[in-house]
Amino acid sequence: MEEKDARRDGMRPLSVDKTWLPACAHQRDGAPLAMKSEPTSPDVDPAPPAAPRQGKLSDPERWVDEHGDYLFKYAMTRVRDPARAEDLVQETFLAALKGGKSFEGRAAEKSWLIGILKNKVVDAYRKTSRESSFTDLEFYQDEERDRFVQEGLFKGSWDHDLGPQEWSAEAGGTLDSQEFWKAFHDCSSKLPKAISTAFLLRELDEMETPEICGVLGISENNLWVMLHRARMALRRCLEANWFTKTR
Amino acid sequence: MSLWGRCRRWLAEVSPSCQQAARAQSARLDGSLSRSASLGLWIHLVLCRWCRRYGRQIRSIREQMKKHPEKAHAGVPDALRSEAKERLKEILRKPPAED
Repeated sequence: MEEKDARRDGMRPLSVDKTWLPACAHQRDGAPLAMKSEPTSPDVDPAPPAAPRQGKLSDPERWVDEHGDYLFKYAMTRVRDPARAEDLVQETFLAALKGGKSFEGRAAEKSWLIGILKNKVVDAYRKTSRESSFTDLEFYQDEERDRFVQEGLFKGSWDHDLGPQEWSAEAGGTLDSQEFWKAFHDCSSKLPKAISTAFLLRELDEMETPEICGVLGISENNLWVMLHRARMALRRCLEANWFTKTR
Repeated sequence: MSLWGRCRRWLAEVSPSCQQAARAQSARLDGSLSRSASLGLWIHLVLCRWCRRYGRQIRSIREQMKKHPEKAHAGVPDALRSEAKERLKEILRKPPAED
């Protein structure tokens, strides 16, 4: 449990960040939402004054030092590509510069930047899915049919020569070996981008379904299909690249 | 045909194929498997060692990733390079003109 918590802290401080959502009214003025129209005391202002114009993005360079790494990490978790993540951070800062808003505090500034970045990530995925390559499409259609019997009484059963082989190493601890992880990285990098992202967001970052669907701009059903394809392809690739080599 | 043989045959007919079972096993990992499908899958798994093996393997991949997130994450940078920071600052000092 401890390990898991530590992991969450280390690996996904980002996906739980919902602070960019507008704060509830009752959090702001201390009264429940319904009471807002009838102030209970003279100093409760139903429409709080605009935030003090303290941080009028005077020093955008400061953002880079203060928020750069955080934004980068957020983008990295979602696009898994350092160059693209850097580009997204840059686009975010430029958009922020144009949008020029003022903030009460740095926390609000950070949430605002994350909000912009979030949209940039979604746009990036929309764009790539429009330009989806043939190999991606092929991948979507491929149910690894060649691994299953095609005809007759046993249609849809594993072909016994091509189906999953027993990973004898599975019983021992050798699954966690250098060779395994090398094969793991080789194999997951071969998956189409959106599929490996969906898979890693689910398995590594333990992101919830609606959020993954939001990031990738896909339906839940699409997600189940993608995860299934990812597992199937990864298992097959690991078997070929790691298991049969270490046997 | 023995009674067991006949039972197996009947069960094989009511249960999903391996191809469908593979999809169902993945759905089960995601918690998106319906009750009726999970009964079908259960029957199939009793009969089919290939699918039991398949399920074991995809589960063990998940377990490895959960057990060693740092290894699964290996090589993924989690902070901006200092050159990138300098470049960003440069750009922010002189943002490109509006198009």
